[in-house]
Amino acid sequence: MLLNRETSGKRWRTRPDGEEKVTGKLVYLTDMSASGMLFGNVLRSAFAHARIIKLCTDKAMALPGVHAVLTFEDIPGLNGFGIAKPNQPVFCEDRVRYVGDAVAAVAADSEELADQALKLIEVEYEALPVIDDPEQALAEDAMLLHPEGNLLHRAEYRRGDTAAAFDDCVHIVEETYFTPRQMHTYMETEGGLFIPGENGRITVYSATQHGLMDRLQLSRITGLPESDIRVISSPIGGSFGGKDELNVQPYGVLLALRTGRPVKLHNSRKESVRAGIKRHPMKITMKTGVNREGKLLAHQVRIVADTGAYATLGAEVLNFALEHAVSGYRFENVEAQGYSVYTNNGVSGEFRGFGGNQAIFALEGQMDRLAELLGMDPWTFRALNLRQIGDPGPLGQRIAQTDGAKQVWEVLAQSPLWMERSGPSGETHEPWIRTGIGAALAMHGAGLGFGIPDPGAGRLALAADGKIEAIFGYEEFGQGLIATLEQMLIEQFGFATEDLRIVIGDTDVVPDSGSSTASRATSMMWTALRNMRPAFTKLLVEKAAALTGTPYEQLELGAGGIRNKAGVLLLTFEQLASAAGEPLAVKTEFHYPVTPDKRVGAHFLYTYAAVAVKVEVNTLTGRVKVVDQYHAVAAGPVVNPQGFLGQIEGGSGMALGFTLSEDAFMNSGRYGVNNLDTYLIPTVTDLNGSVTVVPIETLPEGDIYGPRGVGEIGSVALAPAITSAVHHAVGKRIAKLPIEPHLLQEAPFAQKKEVSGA
Amino acid sequence: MTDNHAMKQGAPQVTSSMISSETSYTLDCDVNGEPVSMKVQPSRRLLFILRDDLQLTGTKRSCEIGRCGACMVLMDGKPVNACLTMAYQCAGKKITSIEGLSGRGVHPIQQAFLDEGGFQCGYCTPGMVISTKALLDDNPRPCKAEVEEALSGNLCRCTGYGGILRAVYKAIETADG
Amino acid sequence: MMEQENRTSFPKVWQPADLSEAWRLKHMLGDAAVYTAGTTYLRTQWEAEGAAPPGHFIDLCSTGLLAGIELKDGELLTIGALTTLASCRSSALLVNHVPVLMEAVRAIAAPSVRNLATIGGNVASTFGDALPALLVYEAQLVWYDGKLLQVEPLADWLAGLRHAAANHAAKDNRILKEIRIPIASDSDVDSGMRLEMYKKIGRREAFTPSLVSVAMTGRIHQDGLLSGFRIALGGGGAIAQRLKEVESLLQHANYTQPLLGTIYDMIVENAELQGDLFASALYKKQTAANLILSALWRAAGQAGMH
Repeated sequence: MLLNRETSGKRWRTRPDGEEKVTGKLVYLTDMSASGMLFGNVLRSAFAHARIIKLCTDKAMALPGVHAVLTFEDIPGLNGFGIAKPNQPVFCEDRVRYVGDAVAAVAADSEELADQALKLIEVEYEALPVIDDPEQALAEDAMLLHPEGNLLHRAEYRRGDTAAAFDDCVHIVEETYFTPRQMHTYMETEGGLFIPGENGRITVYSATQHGLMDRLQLSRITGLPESDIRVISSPIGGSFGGKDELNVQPYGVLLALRTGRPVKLHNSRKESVRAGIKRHPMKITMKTGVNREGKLLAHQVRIVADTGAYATLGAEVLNFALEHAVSGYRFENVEAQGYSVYTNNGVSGEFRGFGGNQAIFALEGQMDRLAELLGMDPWTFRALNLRQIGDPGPLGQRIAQTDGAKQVWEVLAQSPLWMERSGPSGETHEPWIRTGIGAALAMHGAGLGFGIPDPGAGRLALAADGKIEAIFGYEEFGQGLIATLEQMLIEQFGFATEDLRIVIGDTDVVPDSGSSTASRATSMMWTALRNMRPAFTKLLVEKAAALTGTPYEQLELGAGGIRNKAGVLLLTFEQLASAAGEPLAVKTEFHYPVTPDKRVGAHFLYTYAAVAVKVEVNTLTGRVKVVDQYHAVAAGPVVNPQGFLGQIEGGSGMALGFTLSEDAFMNSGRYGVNNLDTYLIPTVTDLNGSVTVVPIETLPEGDIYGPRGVGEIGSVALAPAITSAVHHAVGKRIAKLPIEPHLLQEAPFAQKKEVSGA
Repeated sequence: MTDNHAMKQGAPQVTSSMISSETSYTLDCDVNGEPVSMKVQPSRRLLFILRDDLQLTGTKRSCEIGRCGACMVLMDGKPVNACLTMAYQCAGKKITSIEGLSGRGVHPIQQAFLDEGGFQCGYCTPGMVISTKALLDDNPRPCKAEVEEALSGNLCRCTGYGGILRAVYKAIETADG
Repeated sequence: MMEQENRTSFPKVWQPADLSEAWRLKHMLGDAAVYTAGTTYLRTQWEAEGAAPPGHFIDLCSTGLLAGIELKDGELLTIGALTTLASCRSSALLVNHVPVLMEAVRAIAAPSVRNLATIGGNVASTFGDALPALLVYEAQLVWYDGKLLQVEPLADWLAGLRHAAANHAAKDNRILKEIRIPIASDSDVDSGMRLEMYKKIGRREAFTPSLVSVAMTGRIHQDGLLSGFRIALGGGGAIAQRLKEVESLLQHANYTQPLLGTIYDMIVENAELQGDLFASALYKKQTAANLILSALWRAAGQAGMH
């Protein structure tokens, strides 16, 4: 059923964080200030690749109003960060590897003074050759960017014998696809406030998607025990994966510890572009063959990912891309290789979709091209080869089975938009506007995958003031996590909104729930509540039974307190809390469900999406306008309709930018775009077309994993749907994103003959 | 036009019109209905006057070159980017920030954003609400093209604008009674 | 927080009472000063392109003379240089008399920027998107040179820019006071249908820097006769230019399909549009040619020529 406010009825709820957001009263962490606060700033490399010959901070330190100037010599602990592999220096010592590399940081009485102090830091560089292309970095004679070489990670998967299978193929498509260096472009740039406390403790008010991971990393850098670091990390003005890695935190913490005063940092947009991570640009070559009937026989994949100067999650993103490059369909023989390669370009890392976006663009491009060679309808061709319930996962691993692929395929096939494709093509009043309809399909893994710690945990407590506290180590960066948690508590336990207090984003109080990434938080909260519900209910109801004298069996949790089976409120939560005299709390700890097969990174839970779009290609300009989108999404029950709709609409909006306008391109290791005047994300006019979202909520009988997260699935299948529609409109295949308009441009009036439609 | 002609004299004495000797400039304007008089550098940007000097942090810092709309405020009822507007350009003006809009509870436009879920992370939302307010004050029944033009200077990265457009149309409908 | 600015340099702001004072300030301060109006474009330069802000602003708004749109004697439209783009956008005079300029203004930036930005600033930036539109209306610029007001055809000023060093405009101490557009009364021209077109092509659908912008006015008659065409290109950092050769070719020509092909080739060969980081010169030229041809084709259809 179509998802919108009307069809959702009472389940469409006003977000608990809404009023503060629409009124501007919500204090983001970059809005905070403290008395006696200093302003921090970071000196970044003047070169994409250079040796540091000399570094002198004396003049900066001598500037009145400057309280600290820090370099690599001032790091008590590890001079490195990175979620998976901490090889990015907090401060570079003798070498810089990209233009965002930090060399020094200052704290001063004002932002202007901090800027001025940065200018007084003397750094002498010796420029080194810039390696700005991964293939160049892999060349034998390439200068090594890290002691272990220029290859961060190689991934591989083989099944069967592709070489032999290609001999049996009637049609083979070989194509190389390119995807852009997309920027997260969260509206709130990185920043925060860092407050040293008593007894050497420090409080970090700065956004992240995993507070406990920040705490761990900051502990390594500062040498402080983790218990001395408190990370408060919500609310967040957008992240999309981009704030999961550390950004300003090491500098804020070190400056605050050194000066003993609160320090504020808030990146300018330009600084954010320069230093921040981006989506991995990938070059993906695929060779895929079918037999006469259209059955996929062989699929060969080579992925080269530009991971930039440092590791962060580059290896994990490559694993994900590789897995998804061979996903969704029954390939008899597979040979896939991937390389995540260091360069002197900006650091690439985690970004909504996590490598799936790139891989699925290429994979779905192959499906369309093969269908064309076969003379088949592209959707019919997909059905021929689509994975079936019971099939193993993309890497041959056992997975939680659903029929999602077939479900989304069928719903899309029946959609009005897809039916329109086979109908008569609509006349446009301008003959240079050509319309086309295309579709694509994706399966997308959730959770971090096999072999990676992926904990889940939560607590429920009746607080002393009578509030029901739900305590999780997750973050609210806009996705509606608080709203989703509240909705689950209300719908599963019968609580009222006023009964609840959601506690997240504070490492001093939250359990280790794992990260708010990988479309995992909704699943994990659902599982945690399911785990805790019997015990929490028993705890409260038993206490209430004792207090009221009403038999346990006749009582239940409800809005406002404990009610009898007739719904009469017998004891408010406040009364229960004060009478109990002790905290009534339960907790749960568990692990994200993983495949039993030992393949690092392989996923267990998947969601599925099929997307159809209608485009208008203006052949005068070559520009593409998406006028209609239809999304079928199989991700289990919809927990929060507004959140679900928002994730699919928002994820696809982001994917539209990936397809049509966004590329933080680099030349010789320097960004060609610095701010939002040249890096163009979609405006309201770019996204004014219709968007229909149809969730498919049914799961197989006995499924115990419940609702799957939808944070990413909306962003992975739109690009290939658009390029498919472009082909339908003008007969041209696109292999490089964002689409270059000149490739679609025609000269309809330049021929010396009458044009059609004239 | 600014009122700051106090030091002006005859034409030849050109230096007389300088308004930024170290401490001399006083900005007089109205912020959210309150008169404000403050010593400030004349080229200091309204964004930082609001956020840092007046602690009105509902106006958000993002691109700082007028390309995202996160810092949208009303100046004499018209939307301007606070990051592009300097102190001397505010002299004598009425500035309305998001705090001024919601001073008396939730404004109907804000209610529409709440009802329709026209926000996610919320960072663009004050600017979106301000631009919508400016639009509807000027044109209570805008057509689709007018709505899009009015919001074209406000970027949102979370919603894909679906919820925002539904909120604006809801606000139009509500105002229509 | 209020004391933070004392020890670092902030631009000094000068608010001259009149043009004469403004000019003398600029003469005195030289390259350390810039004339400012809306300051929106200057801010982009300082912030995004890393150029240091100048030491001095000479705020032309304080001169109090230069805003407003008027139609004088039914034949001269004057737009004060300090007229905001927002005022232009809501001007009935512009809609009625210079619709191509109105469309250009609609395509510039976003409403909030247009509330600050001025038409004079768009012109003085040397590559504003209003320039092609002003060119097809044969606009004139009224400059104040410290003593006198000078009237200079926009086309001449742009030609000077094209042939001068890149910093020519910065060294020009003159102050743009007003833009004048001669309005042809309808009785001056014979019958036929007016063709008026402005298109800006960027990299997204709204609030986009231009890759190329095209302005055109002309007439097409029942028998296919074309007359009075003026066509200009700009955008993407190019100095706006008239396509005089194309205009000559169209003058008193009859609309035919082969004519379109000839024009296409002429534009692609002759337009002075350079490639940049985002699009090739060829793309820009082909886009300009296509937009011009499609407008002609559509007008011919409306005139019953198809």
